[in-house]
Amino acid sequence: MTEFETSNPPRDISIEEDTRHVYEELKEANDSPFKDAELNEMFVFAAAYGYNQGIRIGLDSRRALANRDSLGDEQIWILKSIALNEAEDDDILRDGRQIYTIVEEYAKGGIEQLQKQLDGPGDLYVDLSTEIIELHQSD
Amino acid sequence: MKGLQILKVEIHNYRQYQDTHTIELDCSDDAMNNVIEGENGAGKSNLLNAVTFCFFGIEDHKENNVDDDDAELPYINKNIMERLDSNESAEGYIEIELGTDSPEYIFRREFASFKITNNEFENVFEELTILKQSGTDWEEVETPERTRNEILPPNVRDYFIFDAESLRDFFGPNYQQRIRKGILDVSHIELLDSGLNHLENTRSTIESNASDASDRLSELQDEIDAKEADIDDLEDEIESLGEDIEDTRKELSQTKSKMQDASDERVQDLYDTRERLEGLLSERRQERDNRIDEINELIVEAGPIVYAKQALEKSQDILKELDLPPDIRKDFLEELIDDKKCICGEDLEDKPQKLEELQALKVDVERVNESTIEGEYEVESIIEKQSDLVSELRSKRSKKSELDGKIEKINQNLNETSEKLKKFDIPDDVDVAALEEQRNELIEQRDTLIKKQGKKEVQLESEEKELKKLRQEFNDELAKQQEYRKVVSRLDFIDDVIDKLESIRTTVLSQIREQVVGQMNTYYNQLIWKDAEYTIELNEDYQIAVLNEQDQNQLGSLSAGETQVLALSFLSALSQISGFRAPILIDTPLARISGQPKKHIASHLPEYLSDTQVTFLMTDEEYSSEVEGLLKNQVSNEYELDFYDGSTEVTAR
Repeated sequence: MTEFETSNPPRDISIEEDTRHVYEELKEANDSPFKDAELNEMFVFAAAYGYNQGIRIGLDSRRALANRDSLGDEQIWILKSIALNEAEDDDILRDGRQIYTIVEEYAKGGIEQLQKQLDGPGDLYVDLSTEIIELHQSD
Repeated sequence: MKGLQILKVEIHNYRQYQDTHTIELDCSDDAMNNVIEGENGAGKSNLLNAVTFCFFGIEDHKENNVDDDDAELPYINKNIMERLDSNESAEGYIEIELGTDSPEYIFRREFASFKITNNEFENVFEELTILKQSGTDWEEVETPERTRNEILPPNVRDYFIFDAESLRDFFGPNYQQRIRKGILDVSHIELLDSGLNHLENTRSTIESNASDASDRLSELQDEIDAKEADIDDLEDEIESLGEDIEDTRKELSQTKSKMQDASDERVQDLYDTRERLEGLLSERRQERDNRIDEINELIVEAGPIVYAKQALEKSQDILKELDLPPDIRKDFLEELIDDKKCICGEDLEDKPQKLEELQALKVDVERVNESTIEGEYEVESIIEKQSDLVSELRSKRSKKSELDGKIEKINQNLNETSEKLKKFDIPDDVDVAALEEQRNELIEQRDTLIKKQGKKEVQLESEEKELKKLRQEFNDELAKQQEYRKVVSRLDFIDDVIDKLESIRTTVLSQIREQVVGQMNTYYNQLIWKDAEYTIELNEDYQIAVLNEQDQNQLGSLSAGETQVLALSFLSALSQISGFRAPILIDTPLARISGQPKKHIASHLPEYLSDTQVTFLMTDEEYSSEVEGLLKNQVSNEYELDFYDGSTEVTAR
C-alpha cells in the first residue's frame, strides 16, 4: 500500500519523451479530432483513454508537455478522479506529485493506443466518436 | 505613386494582326483605365499574348493559336503565310513603349515564320531588346532581361496580366498551393533563401570534412548525403507536380471556355444544371466540414468524461463519504475566532461552547484541502453534463451522415449530367461530347496529380525529420572526439543561424499574408455587390475563409462570379504588395457576372487599383452601354477589335 504525503503538484505536465511526436501527429492527421485541440486537452484525453483501456506505463524519460496551470478545474478533477480511483485512498488528494505520476503513466498508455488507432484503417474521429457514444450507452 | 504605363503597343503581322497596328494606351492621371472591346475570337487574348510574348517570349493565353488538332499555328498572320511560297519566310515584331508620363523604355521582340510546305512551318523569335531613354537619346540596354525583371519579373507576371475568366477555378482543389506560390512570389525572400542555401552548403562541407574522424562518422555522412539527395529529388518532384497541376487547371479552364461557345440550348441548360449542382456540392461539403469540426470539439470535451466515467463516479462517492465541511475559507474562520464572533454575527465572548465548535470547524477545514471541498461540486457537475455532450455528439454525427447522403446524391446527379453531355452530337457546333470527355479526363488527371503531390509532401516531411535526427547523431558522435569540439561548436552555430533565418522567413511570410489579406478585404468588399460586409482570413496553411456577418465561412458556397471577384481581389492584392509598379491588363473582367452585380463592379472598378494603369479587354456583352456609361469618366482610351477575313482591325472609339 502506497503511503501518501502532502506534496505540491509538479509545475509541468510531463510525458514520455518518445511520445512527443505522437501528439504532433495527432494534431496534424487529416482524420484526427485533435487538429484544433490544445496539448493539455490531448493529455487529459490520453490519460482518460489510457485509464479506460487499463494501460498504465511507467515513464522512462520525461519531457514537459504543458504548464500544469493551463489545466481548467474540470480537467484537474478528471485527472484527480483517475488517481483517486487508482489509489483507492482519499489521502492521495493531498499528494499532488503522486496524482500526476499516476495520470502521466495512464497518458503514456493512452497515447500509444491512440497512435495505433491513428495508424489503423478508418477515420480516427469516426472511431472515437462511435466508441464514446457506445460507451455512454452501455452504462 | 503612379506606376509605369504602357504608352503604346505596336503590333506587326502577329497572329490575326495583319500589317501594323498601333494602340495608344497613355492615360491621364484622373482616368487611369483603358477599354479594348471585341467579340470572342476578335483578338483580345492575343493582345495579352502580344504583351507577354514581347516581355517574356511566351504566350499564356490560348485564343486561336492552336488548330483543331492542337498543332501550333504560325506567329505570322495567316493571310501573309498563305501568300508565301515554300521555303519563304515573313517577319513581324511587337514593340511596347513604357513610361510614367513620357516614354522611358521601348521593349521590342522580333519573330518570323518559315513556310516549309503549305502545311508545315517553323516559328522563331529573337531575344528581347530594350531601348532606354537617356537624356534625348535612346540607348540599347546591355542586359534587357535584368531591366525587364526590375519592372515585371516572370514569377509575378500572372498578377499583372491575366484572364479573369480563368479565375473561376482559382479556389478549386489545391488552391492553397496557388495562394502559397503567390505569397512567396511577392515576398522578395530570395536573399534569405540564398543565405539559407549558403549556410546549408557550408554545413555540408564541414560535415564532409569531419567525417574522416571515425568509421561511424563516415557512415553517418554517407547516410546524410543520401538523405539530402532524396530530399532534393522529392522537392523537384513536388515542384514539377505543382506545375503539372497548374497546367491542367489552365487546360480545364480553357475547355470550360470552349464549352460556353455551344449554341444548343439543351447543352447550355445542362451546363447550367451542372454549375448549380457544383455550387450545391461545394456548399454541402462546407457544411459537412463544419459538422466534422463540431464533432471533433465534442470528442475532445466529452471523451475524457466518458472514458473516466467510472473514476468520476467513484470519486463522487468517496468525496461524499468524506463528510466534507462546508466550503468556508480557513482564514475567515480564524478571523471569526479572533474576534469571537459567529458566522451569523452573534457575539461569542460569553459562549465558550460555540467558540469550541468554531475551532472544531476550523480543524475540519484544515484537514481537507479547500479545493477538495470544491471538488465534490465539480465532479457532480462533470458527471451531469456527460449525457448532454454525448447527445449532442450523436446529433452532429447524424447530421453529418445526412450530409454524406446528400453529397452522394449530388455526385450521382452530376454523373448523370455528364453522361447526357457525352451523348450529344451536334453537327456544325462545338463538339460537346469530346469536350465533356476531355473535361472528365482533365479532372481525373488533376485529382491524381494533387494526391500524388500530397503523398510526396508527407514523404518529404518525414525525410526532413530523418535528416534532422541523422545530423544530431553526427554531431553527438563528433562531440566524442576531443579534437573536433570546435567543429561541433561551428556546426551548432550554423544550426542556430539557420533556425534564426527560418524564423525570420516565417515572420516575413506571415507579415506578407497579413498585408495581402488586408488588401483583399478592401477590394472584395468594394467589388462585391451584396449588401453585407465580409471578412477574409488567410491562415498559415494558406487556407482562405470568407466570413459573413454571422462568422460563417462562405468560401464553399460562393457563386462563380463571387469566386472570380475573390480571385481578382487576391491577384490585385499581390500586384500591389509586390512592389512592382507595372501596368495591369485584365481580359474579360466581367465575363461571369451579370445584371446588377456587373453594374456594381463596373461602377467600382476605377477606384480599385487607383494610381495603376489598368487596361480591360472586354467582350461586347461585358461592355454594355450601361457599363460604358459607368466607366466613361475613368477611361482614357477605347478601342474596338473587329475580326474579318483572317485579320483583326483595331479602331479607336
